[in-house]
Amino acid sequence: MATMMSDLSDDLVEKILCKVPLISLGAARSTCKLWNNLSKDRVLCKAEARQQCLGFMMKGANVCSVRFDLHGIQNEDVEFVEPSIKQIDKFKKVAISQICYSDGLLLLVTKEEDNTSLVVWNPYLGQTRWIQHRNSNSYMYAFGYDNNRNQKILMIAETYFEIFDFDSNSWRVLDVIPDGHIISNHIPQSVSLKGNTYFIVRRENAVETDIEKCLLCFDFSKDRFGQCLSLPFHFNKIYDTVVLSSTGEEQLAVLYKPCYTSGIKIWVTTKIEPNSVSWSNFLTVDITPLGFKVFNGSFFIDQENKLAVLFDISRCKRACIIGENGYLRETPPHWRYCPPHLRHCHTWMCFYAPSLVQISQELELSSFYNIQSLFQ
Amino acid sequence: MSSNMIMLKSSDGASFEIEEAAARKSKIIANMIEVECVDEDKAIPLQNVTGNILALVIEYCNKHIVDDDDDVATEEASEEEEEAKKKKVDDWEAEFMNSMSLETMFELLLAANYLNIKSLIDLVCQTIANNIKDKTPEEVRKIFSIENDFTPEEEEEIRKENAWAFG
Repeated sequence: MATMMSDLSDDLVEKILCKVPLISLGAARSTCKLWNNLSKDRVLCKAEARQQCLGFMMKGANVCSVRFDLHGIQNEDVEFVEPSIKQIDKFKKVAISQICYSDGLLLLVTKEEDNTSLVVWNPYLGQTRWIQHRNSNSYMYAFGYDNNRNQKILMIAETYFEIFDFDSNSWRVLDVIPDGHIISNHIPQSVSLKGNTYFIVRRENAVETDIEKCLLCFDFSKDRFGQCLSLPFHFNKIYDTVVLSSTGEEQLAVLYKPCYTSGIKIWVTTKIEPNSVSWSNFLTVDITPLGFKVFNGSFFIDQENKLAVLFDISRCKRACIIGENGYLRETPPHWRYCPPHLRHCHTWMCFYAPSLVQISQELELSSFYNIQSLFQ
Repeated sequence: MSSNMIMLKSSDGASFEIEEAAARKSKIIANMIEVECVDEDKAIPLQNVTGNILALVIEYCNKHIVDDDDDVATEEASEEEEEAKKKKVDDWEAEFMNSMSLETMFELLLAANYLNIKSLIDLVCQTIANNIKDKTPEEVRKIFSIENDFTPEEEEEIRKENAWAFG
């Protein structure tokens, strides 16, 4: 009798399904119950075609999954493969104002008239949890977990802080004074790493015109901010661009572009803890040939290929790719990742790697029935 | 370098002579050699592997033992040489798997699993997985003769829940 898939142990079936790329997850799960069940207690389809970046981004008030294929991009003859930017239907009916990412989970902040709903989503497991917060249009949120893997949300309103604990299902005021002013902006100024969130903060020195920026960690295990960590450059002018990005769950990257110059520098961390950091140079590029001097947006880095993809929000929402030895390439117009009529296009972006992290669920779901019914 | 030869015997009675170094690709055989339960005059019986599959396993091990030796000899090899070598192995592996039927792949996977040859397990799994990517569930079921045990409602529900996945 012929040997078939059904003759293999679950363990071997799992090994095969692990080598299927994530874009086939839906197809694999819909094949049969066994495959669907296997996918619920282990991460299947984690193989990615090399040079593919997966992530989530905001496009206007929508959240989208994004996939870029940078394969062979340094070669001028290689045509750009159009990125896939796909709106998530599940959240089509809500306006999203911020997204945070931590360890396979996304926190989406919705813009409602008189109150804010937060939703935590594990795309891989298809789990969500809705959390309500009072009117807070201008608040900023950060998302992480403590040593015991309890998930938490930090709410930031200038110098006032509240924290939400998933296990206790309640908000409480947090009496902390960060060593700097957290900047709420339309470009990414905070990134989650190993459960904690790192912010770019502004410090005003004795001399009024002298402003410096540093990196500050909110430690979700201690519910405290760490001390100011140095950035690998000297911040000069208030219009200088500083953007944070993550490179998976281990490292941070920071981009610096001094105002009135066209030099862009990117560093990655060689070590990062709530109270210590060290950096190494990743890329230095002069973007003069692209003909623009301002960069405001977000970026992805591809360490293996020493490339960075920059998404500019000020200049027609175009993207460009930079690399070693002055490599520069502006992407074609179809990479326009934001409709031109949108004046403000937030570009919070995150790398994505599927995880089996369960969202701690509250016991009673009834009070959120009304919100949830919106999304059926 | 030792070039001890050992004998392997398949479930259907075929005998194969193989260099010890190649046979050591299998963790199971390597263990047997370590604990000296390999009798030089006797063939090691492999009850779960047929002769035609064992021949493939041996072909794979022989190819890879040569490559491993090269690695030791040219530790100082430049990046380009490394890359060229890797490409050669990749090409060989692609050729090796190319004409194999799915049925043979499953048998080879079971053998590699039984003999515990990790790199071969990976290679075969990847090749089988290539038949899944970019396919619809219906196509996947057809290729692997899998029965659809979902109701249409359940299938639709799963499709919806996974619609985000980077398509």
